[in-house]
Amino acid sequence: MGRLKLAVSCSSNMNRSMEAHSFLAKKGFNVQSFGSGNQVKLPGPSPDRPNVYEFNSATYNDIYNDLVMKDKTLYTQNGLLHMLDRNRRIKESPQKFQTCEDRFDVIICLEERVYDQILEDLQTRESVDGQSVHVINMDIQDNHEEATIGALFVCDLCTRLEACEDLDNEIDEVLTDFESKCNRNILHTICFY
Amino acid sequence: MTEAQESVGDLVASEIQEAQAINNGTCDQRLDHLRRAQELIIHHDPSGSLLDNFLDEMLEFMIDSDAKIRCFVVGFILEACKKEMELIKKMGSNLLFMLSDQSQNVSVTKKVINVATLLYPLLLSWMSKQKNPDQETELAWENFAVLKGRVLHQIESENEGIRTQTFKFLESCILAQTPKTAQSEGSKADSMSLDQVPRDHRFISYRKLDLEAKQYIDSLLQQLSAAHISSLNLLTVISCLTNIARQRPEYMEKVLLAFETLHVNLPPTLGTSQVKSVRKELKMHLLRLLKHEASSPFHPQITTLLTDLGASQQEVLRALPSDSELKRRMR
Repeated sequence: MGRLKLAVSCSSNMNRSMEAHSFLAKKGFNVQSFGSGNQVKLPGPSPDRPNVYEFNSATYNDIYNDLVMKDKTLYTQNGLLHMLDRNRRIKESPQKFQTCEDRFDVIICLEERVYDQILEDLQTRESVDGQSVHVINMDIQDNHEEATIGALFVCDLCTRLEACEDLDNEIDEVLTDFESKCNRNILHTICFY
Repeated sequence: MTEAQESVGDLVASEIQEAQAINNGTCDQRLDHLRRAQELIIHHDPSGSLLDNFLDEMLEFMIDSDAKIRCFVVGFILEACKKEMELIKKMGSNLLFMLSDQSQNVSVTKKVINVATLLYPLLLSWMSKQKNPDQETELAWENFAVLKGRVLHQIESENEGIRTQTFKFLESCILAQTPKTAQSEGSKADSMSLDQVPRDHRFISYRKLDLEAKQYIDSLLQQLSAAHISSLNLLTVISCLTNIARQRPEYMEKVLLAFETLHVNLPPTLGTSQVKSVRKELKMHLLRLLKHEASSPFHPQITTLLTDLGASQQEVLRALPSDSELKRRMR
């Protein structure tokens, strides 16, 4: 098969999907990343006071500057500024999956709720031409260490998927093998554009 | 031909020549030229004369050695027919030829089935509107019937992806060959349905289409009880059947019954997480059916099934229409 058009999505397009995006892009994969939540949410000074931004409008740079202004020490210590600095080198803004019209061969979700939101979107879109897209879920916890391990798993999975001669015919088998290796629950379905 | 058409024509000719001439370039470069030629032919010439002029040149790529180029030509046939459906008289046989691809390439076969899926409702709609169809039109219909038969035969294919596309083709045939009702949902206003076929059409039999659609539905339903269906295709069939139930609610009961049976008889070949994926898919589709106007008589059945599938009470309540909405529907 040629290069697959891949999408990775978490909720806010900040940590897990950007770590995977960064890792996959470095390996030469054709990848885009997304968030599927309503807004971009980042930890704030306390759990009930998160920092909230709008998708597709606030850039990573804007968010970086906003956090520096709010409390540079806190957001340096908890790693948010480091993460945003990485993100702004990869692309401009967090993107919401549901507003993207690009087509993909495979969409990898990094949390079951994200998988549900993406399926809800794909299954209720007006049908266009019946092109198929595989949607896969792999649960990754939303913290720095898990995001790093998650990116390795996503890369391993994408390598296996790209090695298929005939993806539709082999994907069930590839996912079964991968699941036993990574020891994580995998969800998979097919949608049609 | 106007001057503007001539200059667009020159551009098309040059793009086609480039696509033919590149020997050592990548397939993607050739595809870029062909895509540009298609764009000019289909979207930059309202008269359609460029399509007539360059059709044969474009179709010559059908025997290209690269499967990607052959797939492109199959897509071009669809675009050409969308622009001028009369061309189906000439190109129906090309699709048939491409289905039995020279090197049995799976991607070409899948592309032909995908194009047949999109083309069939358009063709049936066009044929139905013909007041005095000529013999060539009738022949084109017969040719397409042969193609349809060959595509449906692929339901037995050993290739999972080909079977997936064939199930989508079946869905398209069923929707086009069954009548729309007031409660049909989710379909485009201009989408084809059996009620648009005149009962006195010279060569299209309303009754035959109706009968075929019933057989197709049964064929899809049977897939749910096939012991060795793959997870991928089980998910596809569930999605096809839900689309049919939403757009042709007369089949809602049959589909729900089949889902109930499937829920207690999942194929033994599925792994643990495949079972979880299938159950999740069923749950999501059933929640969507619960919102459907025509599902009211089946609410107890659907909610029981949803509870068995692990849906929470809140999820079910959120999907259920409100009392005022139900009253409005009753009126």
